[in-house]
Amino acid sequence: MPDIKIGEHVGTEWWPAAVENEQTADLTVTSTTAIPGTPVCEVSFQTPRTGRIGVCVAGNWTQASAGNRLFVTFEVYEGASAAGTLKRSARAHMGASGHGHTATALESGHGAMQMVEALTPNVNHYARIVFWTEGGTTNVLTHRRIIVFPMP
Amino acid sequence: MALPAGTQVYGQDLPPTQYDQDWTVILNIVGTGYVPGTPEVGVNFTAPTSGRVLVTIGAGVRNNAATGERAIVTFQVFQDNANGPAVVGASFNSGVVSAGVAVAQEFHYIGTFKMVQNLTPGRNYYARVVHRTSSITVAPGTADIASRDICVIPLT
Repeated sequence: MPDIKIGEHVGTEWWPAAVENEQTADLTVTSTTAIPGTPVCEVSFQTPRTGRIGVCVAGNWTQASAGNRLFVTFEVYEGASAAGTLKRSARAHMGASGHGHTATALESGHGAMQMVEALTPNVNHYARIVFWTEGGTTNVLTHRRIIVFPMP
Repeated sequence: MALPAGTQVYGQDLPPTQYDQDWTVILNIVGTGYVPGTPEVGVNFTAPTSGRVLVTIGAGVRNNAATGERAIVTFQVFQDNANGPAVVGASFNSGVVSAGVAVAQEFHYIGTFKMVQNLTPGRNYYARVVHRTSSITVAPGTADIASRDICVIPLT
């Protein structure tokens, strides 16, 4: 995972394409463990030579179940799908969540960005949004978006 | 368009990132249609060779009363300037929204991200923050904004 050195020729191996996927299906979330839902909000991408990427997750949701937060974060796999090697598992603190207020809430928008490093350079990877709730059955995820871009 | 494999990457392929912010407090938002507010928070930018940019939006938002009103802060993109053709319209789904609970809140500061694609490489565009309230349940409105920011980052 080399850094770009001063004076070095910078080619496209450092800058593969950035990708985005967006899903608008309304999902009523009941799972208390991380699931991708259907349809899956997913992207395939090639890692840059640095092995570093930026991952943005964003979404809208309604927290209608008092005090139960919805967590929205991501997983990264090496390979073409979630059948590949899991390189970054879902972590609640590396995504966005509901506020846990003890009142029902209308739909609102959220986002978070993380860097993932030490990925294998220049090979295909796969990332997807996963989510879960603390409890209750009335957290509704209304919009999901994931963006992956190479980082120097 | 993607940078072809094996080609050299030039400066014009990745033009500068642009950023603007303002912390003028805007209280009791009255409109349910999107407005840029005063001062306008926006950036001129040049589309990279890929035609793709990452737009980040951040804002401090709240509802100041026990109403169901929400402050919605999102963005628009135009060719050339705000008088040019809109290439990205304001969307609830691309922005941030206050908590949506029917109780008075403190300002909370949040951000979100959206990729804009299919821009013409090398062309000038203008992106700006716009906002509205979800509804007016108590005149003149109870949704507030404490700060706004926008960043446009060229992507590959």
